[in-house]
Amino acid sequence: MAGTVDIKLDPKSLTAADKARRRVSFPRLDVNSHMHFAEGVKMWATRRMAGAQPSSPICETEALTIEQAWAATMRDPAHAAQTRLNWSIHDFMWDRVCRAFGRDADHFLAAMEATDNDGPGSLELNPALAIPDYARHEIHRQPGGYVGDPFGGWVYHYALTLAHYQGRTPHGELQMELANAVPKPADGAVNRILDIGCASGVLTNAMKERFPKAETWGVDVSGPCVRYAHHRAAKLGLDIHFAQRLAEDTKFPNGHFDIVTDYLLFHEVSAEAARKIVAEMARIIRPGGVWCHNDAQTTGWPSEIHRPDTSIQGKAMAWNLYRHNYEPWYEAYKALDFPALLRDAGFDVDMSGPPIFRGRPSVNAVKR
Amino acid sequence: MTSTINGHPTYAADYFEGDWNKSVFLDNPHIDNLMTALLGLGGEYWAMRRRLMVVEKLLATKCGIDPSEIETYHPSEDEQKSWDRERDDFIRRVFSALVREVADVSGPIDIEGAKLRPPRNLEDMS
Ligand SMILES: C[S@@+](CC[C@H](N)C(=O)[O-])C[C@H]1O[C@@H](n2cnc3c(N)ncnc32)[C@H](O)[C@@H]1O
Repeated sequence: MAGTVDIKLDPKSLTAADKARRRVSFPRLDVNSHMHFAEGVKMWATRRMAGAQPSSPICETEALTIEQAWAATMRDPAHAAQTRLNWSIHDFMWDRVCRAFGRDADHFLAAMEATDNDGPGSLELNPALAIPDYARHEIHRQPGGYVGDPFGGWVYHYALTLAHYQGRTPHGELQMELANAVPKPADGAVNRILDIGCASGVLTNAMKERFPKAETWGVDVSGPCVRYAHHRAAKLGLDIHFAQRLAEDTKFPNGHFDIVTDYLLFHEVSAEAARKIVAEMARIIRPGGVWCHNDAQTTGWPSEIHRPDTSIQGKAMAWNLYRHNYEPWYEAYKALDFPALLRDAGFDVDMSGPPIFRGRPSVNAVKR
Repeated sequence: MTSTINGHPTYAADYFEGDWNKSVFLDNPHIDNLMTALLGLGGEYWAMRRRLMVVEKLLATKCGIDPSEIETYHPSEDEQKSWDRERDDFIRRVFSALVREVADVSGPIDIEGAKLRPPRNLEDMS
């Protein structure tokens, strides 16, 4: 459509005022210092690990399961100590963030109450929503998970921004890059956008900034997440609708959206739910509409971009992520042939875009 | 009905508690716990140092100090960079011990096997 406004975002040259507006920061100095510390330890541990990884397989590991590879690497005391360090600092991060919101709970709850019914944008909470069991786990060791902590949205956003991403996206830069890489439908019309599994809404916000005239929605199964996402978007002056709904049952009419995005949703849902979500996207995206998916690589990715690491360290890392980062659905997600699922659901699939994070491009799927 | 805190609705729901905080990676769970506590101590100490840096900075530049100014202090970009360097140095100092390379040192000193190394550089000393 001729009226579509499309603004290229420029994450590399945010002004000081832009940064101040987007910056997240606790109202208590010590908590900010704890995050600064956690970020530093994570950076240090990551650098050490990178240096320690041999680039080629150290033995024939075909026959080893990922659990056996893990057990083998854990016999090395240095590796065991490194692992302990990584999980202890990860738990330190979540723990201090959760405590911070708990300590000033009244303040943060009042802040959300002040924006619940206020614009711009809107908030739809659904305390009666039947939350599927698979979405009630403490994924990535986040205490209470997304749904079980009153501050789940804040906790996720603050911990990741201030510590876990190690300075990669202090003002949402990563999500701006993701939003920039979303291709427009061939006819150019972008009237309605949906971000599924929006969590704290950082990508949803970036999509709205790129397409300010488009009606923009973020849905998430977690009440605390959409509530925080709305609070933050309202503070940033972004007119976005956040709703507590399931990605597999979005309640939108057929062929409603021109663009749908998801970032890091699919490795956190069961394979059964993943299939249902794909079917729902095929229903609500219009012919010619674009679905931009970004998550870990799965079976069925072209081998030039995705070569599964079958070294003993690679397999051990897979177990470590699944078992100890507490990602119950990760392995089943990787085993899905995601591109084939999309094709079978009626999408043409393209993975030739630029790598955004950890070497992976988005999967751009156009509805036939 | 949604859960509440001090009368405020929270919209949080039931969740499954994971066993992720039960894992033991070292030979004795107490060693795991020591490492976690030591990291916690590091965090406390770092928070103290940052607070002192703030206080010193403010003391140097002002007279009457409003505590809320301390609570909401944000470093400048250059200052943040130097804080990052301080932090990294501190982390290496305290925690390198935890990831020390070990070897079997039983038996006499292996004079023939000793490795010749170039003079220590600044990185070796950090
Ligand atoms: C890793 S987070 C997403 C991060 C987010 N997209 C961003 O850019 O920061 C995954 C989110 O998916 C949500 N989720 C999980 N299952 C869902 C479902 N069936 N429907 C909607 N949201 C779901 C979780 O509550 C969580 O907030």
